Order: sequence, then C-alpha cells, then structure tokens
Amino acid sequence: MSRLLRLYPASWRDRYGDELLDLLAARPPSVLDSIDIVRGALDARLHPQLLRERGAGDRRFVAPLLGGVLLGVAWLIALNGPVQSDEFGTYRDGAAAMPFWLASMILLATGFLFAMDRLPVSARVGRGAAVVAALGALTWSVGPWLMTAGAVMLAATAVLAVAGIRQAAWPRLTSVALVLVAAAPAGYLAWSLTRPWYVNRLAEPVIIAATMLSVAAVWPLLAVILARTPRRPATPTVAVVEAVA
Amino acid sequence: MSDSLADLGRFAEPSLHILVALSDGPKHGYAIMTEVERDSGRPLGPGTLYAALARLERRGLIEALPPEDRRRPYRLTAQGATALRVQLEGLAGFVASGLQRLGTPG
Repeated sequence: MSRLLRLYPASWRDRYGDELLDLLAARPPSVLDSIDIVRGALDARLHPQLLRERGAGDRRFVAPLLGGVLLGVAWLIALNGPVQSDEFGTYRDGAAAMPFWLASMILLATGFLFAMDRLPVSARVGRGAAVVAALGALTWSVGPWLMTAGAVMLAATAVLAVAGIRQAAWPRLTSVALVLVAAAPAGYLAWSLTRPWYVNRLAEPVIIAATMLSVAAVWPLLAVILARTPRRPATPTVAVVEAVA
Repeated sequence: MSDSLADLGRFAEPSLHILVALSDGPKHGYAIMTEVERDSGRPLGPGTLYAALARLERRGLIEALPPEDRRRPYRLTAQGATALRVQLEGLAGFVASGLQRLGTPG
C-alpha cells in the first residue's frame, strides 16, 4: 500500500503520509479505496497550494511587540517628568506619557483578541478571559491609576495563558512565564487596592520596580506566543480589529 | 475567505460530513471516516478524506492537533463551527421549504 502513497507529492507524504498509513493499517483498503487513493494523489499534484503554510506573512505579533516598545517610551517619559510636591512628598508628573501609555494598552488589547483567536472554540474560559483582559487593558489605558482594571487584566491574562497551556497548542515555557508575570503583579495590585493610595506611593521601591517589570513582560511574551502559535483564520471579532487597526 | 463549502466541488459533501463528525470533539482520520460512513450510509475513500481534510485545514475550518503516535486528531475551529452552522441552517431552510411545498401528509 505504501507504493500507492508514492504517487503523492513528497510534501503531501510528509504531512499526511503517516496518518494515511495508520488509517490503512486499521482498515485494509478495498479496490475502490485504492482507486480513491490514486485520485487523491492526482488531486494533490494538481493542487499543491493546499499544503502551503497558512502562517506565512502573519505579523499579528507586531501589535503587542510595538505596544511593549511604547510602554517603555511611556515609562521613560514618566520617570523623567517634572518633579511635583504635595503634602505626602515629591513625585514625577507623568502626564506627558499618557498618549504612549494609551497606545500601548490598546495594542495589548488587540494582542489579547488575536490570542483569543488562537484558542479553539471549546476553550470558552480562555476565550472569555481574553475578552476580559482586552476590556481590562482598554479600561486601564484611560489612566494608569485605575489599578482595579490592571489587576483584572493581569488576572485574566494568567487565565488566558493557562488555557493556552491546557490546549497544548501554545509554547509551554512562554505560556508558563506569562502566567507567572501576570499572576504575581495581579496579586500585588489586588492587595495594594486594600490600602490607602498614599501608602502605595510610599511602598517599597524594589517591589514597585519588580511589579512594573513583571507587567512589562506581558507584552513581549504575548508577542512570542502569537509569533509561535500557528495562525488561525480571521473570526468576525478579529476582522473588525484588523479593519480598525 | 469564504465559509461556503459549495466551491469545493466534489469535496463539498464529504467536507460537510467531516465538519459534522468533528462537531462534538476532535477525531483522527479513521474515526472521522467511520463516523462519516455511518452517518451518510456511503463509503468515504481515504484519498477523498485527506483531500477534503487538506482543503478544510487550508481554509481554517479545522485544525490539526499534535499527533498521537501516527494518528493526528483534527478539531473544528471557531470559523469552522460558524461555517457548519451556516450550512446546516441553509439545509434546514431548504428541507422546511420542500416539506411545505409537498404538503402535510394525511
């Protein structure tokens, strides 16, 4: 029977050969099946485009990657903003960074929707988490001080990454890293929400820096997942996002 | 990208049966073949099966999962589920219209 498989193009045999051999081992082919295989081989030679990689040209990972760069710019501007003083001490005014922060979060929200599109329809929790993460990012984009939105976004990101791991379709190490860098600051933000804001401002700088770096890792990790996960077709949701972008 | 199966030519009907077979969960080639044959009452040749799978995969209506030994399961994508629903609703409308024209027996 493997002789019949030689009628197929090599690329086709590489992709489907083992499966077809397994199928034929489970059910020895009749004469009609053999004729059908010959027709299938002819069809494969007439339509070589069927095996071309769908993922070629997929650049969706650029959205969160660019968002990460803009986040860096936003922080750079904010950390070098004019010094202001109030009754609690001094701080940097980061208002000039707002446009970059806004763009960064919108691009991250777009990345979440792209990620949702790379989960199967049966992964309802993961797909729902992607939507929640996107909404959280959009809400947080309005103001970095909206910590509740940030905590929700990060928690949903962790859930989304867990769904990606469970579906075995996402790169495991990157997804585990995404769970960790999202869950840790989500927990810290949720905890800090229970305290007065002026206490948070005076919180340990090392913890704040670690939280910021952890949050910042979400962008590149999401980009890596999008780059390394096979492209899925455009759903209506993603089509709208792409049309707007 | 079109969700219609009509332009798949002789693979349109097997493709519809394959989508239905995958609608309740991932299956590998042999399981798909036996289920399609059981549901349609007609044989599905291995060459036709994989030609249809390649077309459905190419259109993003199904996707391959990591192989289990030599068997590779396939599952319906979100777009595949939408396409299947559209096809089935179209068929349901066609059946309802036909039965209505035929008249209620008795």
